[in-house]
Amino acid sequence: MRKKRLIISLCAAAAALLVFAAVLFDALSNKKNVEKTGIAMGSVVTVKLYGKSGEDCADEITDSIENEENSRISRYKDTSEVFLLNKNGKAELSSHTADIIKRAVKISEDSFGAFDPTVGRLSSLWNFDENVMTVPADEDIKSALEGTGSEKVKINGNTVTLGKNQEIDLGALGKGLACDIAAEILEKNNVKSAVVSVGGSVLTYGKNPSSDFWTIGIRTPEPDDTSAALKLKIHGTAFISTSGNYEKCFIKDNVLYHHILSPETGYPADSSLKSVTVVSDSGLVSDALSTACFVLGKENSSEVLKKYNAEAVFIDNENNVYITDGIFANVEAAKNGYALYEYGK
Amino acid sequence: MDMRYTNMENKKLFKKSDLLIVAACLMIAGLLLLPKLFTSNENLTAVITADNSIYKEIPLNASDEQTIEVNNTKIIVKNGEIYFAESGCKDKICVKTGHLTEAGDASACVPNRVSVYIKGGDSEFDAVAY
Repeated sequence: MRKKRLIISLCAAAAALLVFAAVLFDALSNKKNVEKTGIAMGSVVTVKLYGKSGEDCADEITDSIENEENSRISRYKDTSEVFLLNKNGKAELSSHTADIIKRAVKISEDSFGAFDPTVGRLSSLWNFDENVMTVPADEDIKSALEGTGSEKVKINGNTVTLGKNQEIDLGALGKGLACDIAAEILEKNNVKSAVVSVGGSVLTYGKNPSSDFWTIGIRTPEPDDTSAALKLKIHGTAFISTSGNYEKCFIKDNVLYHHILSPETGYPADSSLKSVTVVSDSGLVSDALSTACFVLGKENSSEVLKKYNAEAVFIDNENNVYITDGIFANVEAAKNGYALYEYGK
Repeated sequence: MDMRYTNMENKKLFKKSDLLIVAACLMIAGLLLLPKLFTSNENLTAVITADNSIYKEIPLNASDEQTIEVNNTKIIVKNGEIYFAESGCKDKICVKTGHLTEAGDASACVPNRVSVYIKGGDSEFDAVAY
């Protein structure tokens, strides 16, 4: 009988050891094995890969984003298609770039011009990208506005013709587009789980190996505080973009001037909001809609959000937070001072 | 064969092995928790990249102040913080970003193609949207 007991005990110990080995292996294989940063799209790109994916995949993401900027959408680099289009007013583009412009024009229409990819001259005038921090002359702003309006863009196949004095600026969708590119590369490389951030536009990819959801912070909407004010739980793959008046901004004569320009007035948009975060299944859409909703304001954003099946988090000037019903249960405050409400109720 | 007797024997046996399994499970839990205990914010590492390649990795809790000069920027690590102290760029956005202290914090001097990122530790967030 003793011998039998010993055998059973040994078996139990062996089973426990096996379980231990399996759990340990699982824990190790779920570890972040690559965490890389670089610079692309004028901002910090962070790539975290889980599982067996290697550094090559992270490098491919950063390189592809950089290539997208340099050869396609930058309005500064003289090697890019958009640069040449702006310079010549007409260009036959690659189908990829033409498609981006088509989608941008469509979002512009759907957001009643609140997102406008034709504000190139206005953006150059304010020049927030180079931190110029001066308010342009009113007549210069009015002159720059004459060229805006996505309805003036003519697209025939891959040939794009701009209106008079019109310049394309895809800055308001570039980082989201970069997240789309990252997702394509992750899929191609059979990566199971990853988180990519391109200058604050975030892609959560696949299932978080150590939880049922990804935890994404929404930044405190103040210029001098980079910590998270809100906590957003995301299940699986999603694209999250935030537009806020705390980025690229300056104060002059007690007035805050920020980089989200109203295509209607030519001045920084004032819709009583500090930031808008949009969650959708496309990086380009999330990024463009975060700008559109910021310009439109809380009350006027529901139509375009519904049209693109997107969810949003609005933080207004009084730190009231309005969250659309699809993600209301997934948001909580990460610090004191923020009151949470369901959007539209 | 007396069935009652056999059942009694089995009961006894399972009690012993149950104990073993409990002990093994406790051991597993302990071993799984160990890495967590050692992954605190004490182990943060600042990664500096230049031209999208890693230039230097520095433990953030290093006792001595360190100054790193790369691509026309001057970066300082001290007291668990890392920051761009000076930069030859026009806009100085990197210097204005301030001091980085938490896992996941990042800053960059885009014109000089230098980035700073803090990795390691336990961050509450997988990423922060801004």
